[in-house]
Amino acid sequence: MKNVLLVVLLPLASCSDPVTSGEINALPPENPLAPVGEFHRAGQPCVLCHNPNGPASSDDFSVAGTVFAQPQTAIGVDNATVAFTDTQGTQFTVQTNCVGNFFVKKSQYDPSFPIFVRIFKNGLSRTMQGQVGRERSCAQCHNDPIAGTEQVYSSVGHISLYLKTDNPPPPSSTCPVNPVLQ
Amino acid sequence: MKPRIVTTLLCASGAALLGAIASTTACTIDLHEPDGGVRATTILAPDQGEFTTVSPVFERRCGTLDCHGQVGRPLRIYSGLGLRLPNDAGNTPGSNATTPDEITANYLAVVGLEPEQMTRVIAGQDPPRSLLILAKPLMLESHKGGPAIAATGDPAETCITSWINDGIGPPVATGLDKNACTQAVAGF
Repeated sequence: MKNVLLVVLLPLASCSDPVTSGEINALPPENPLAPVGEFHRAGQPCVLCHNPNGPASSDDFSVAGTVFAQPQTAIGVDNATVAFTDTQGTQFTVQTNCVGNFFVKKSQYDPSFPIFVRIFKNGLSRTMQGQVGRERSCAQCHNDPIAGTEQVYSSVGHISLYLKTDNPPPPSSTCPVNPVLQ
Repeated sequence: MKPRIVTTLLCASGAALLGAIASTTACTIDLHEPDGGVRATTILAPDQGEFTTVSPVFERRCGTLDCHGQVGRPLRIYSGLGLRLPNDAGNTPGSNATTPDEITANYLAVVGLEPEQMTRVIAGQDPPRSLLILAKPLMLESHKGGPAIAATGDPAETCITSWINDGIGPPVATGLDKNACTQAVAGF
């Protein structure tokens, strides 16, 4: 019987992508104060799960991420505009929600990589200096490495609209989820 | 069992060693460890000095953090805007320009990706497009990152090819096309 089970289970196991599975397993657990939905997992790599082969395949994102206020804090910025231009010149914009999350479904816009990105709000604009080669989760590169580790050489920190020295407006007070991560 | 270290030795000027290939000794892989443990492959490669002009093309077209600007990826490319070589100067992605050490690392990554094939190309036996550094971005071979170089008329290919041809020497060498190298990074 055990042999029969092995024969049945092994092909199933080989279908999963061990790299993606490992990355998903390495994510922190869901925050009970930010239940699954558009406000959850701010600052994390969305498309790890939100892809045709992921556990959130029903929402298949072409690109997604989180806009925070400043480099030194993780406070989500609401109603910021994220503008994409792909290699064919096709453009698309999306607004951040009150925790700073934004996501574009493939049915809305499926860009041809590389893509160029700009974020803006109330006349303030920041343009990404390089292009996005192929990564659909902004947080794969835009994460916050622990100081003193090798990761500081491969991360540009989280996306931030304002500079360290700016005085950004306060976060949304009506958001159902606290937009202040730290 | 004595551990073996695989070392790729690079030639600054391919043309200078072209004649040596025929002698059958200069470019053979030495399996006898004559220097006490170092196993070396001598290859022919384009000029390292000229690569300073070519490196930005690889940096901007290939070396974003989500592509070849990753530690775990072949053809690892360092750049001021992307992956940084570990350093004590405080250089992180987006801060300060690409350093000479990073350009050297990029050169080694580019010429060392396929050392034998690079040698064949510099020896004039195969065309530059047979190299993965061109075949993949041109989509002549499958490339996860898609067409990083347009199939026709892209200054990035002109730049890289002129650099390779310069390593081959006459009659294909017409000098490094610095203008094409500049155009290739405009807008990226």
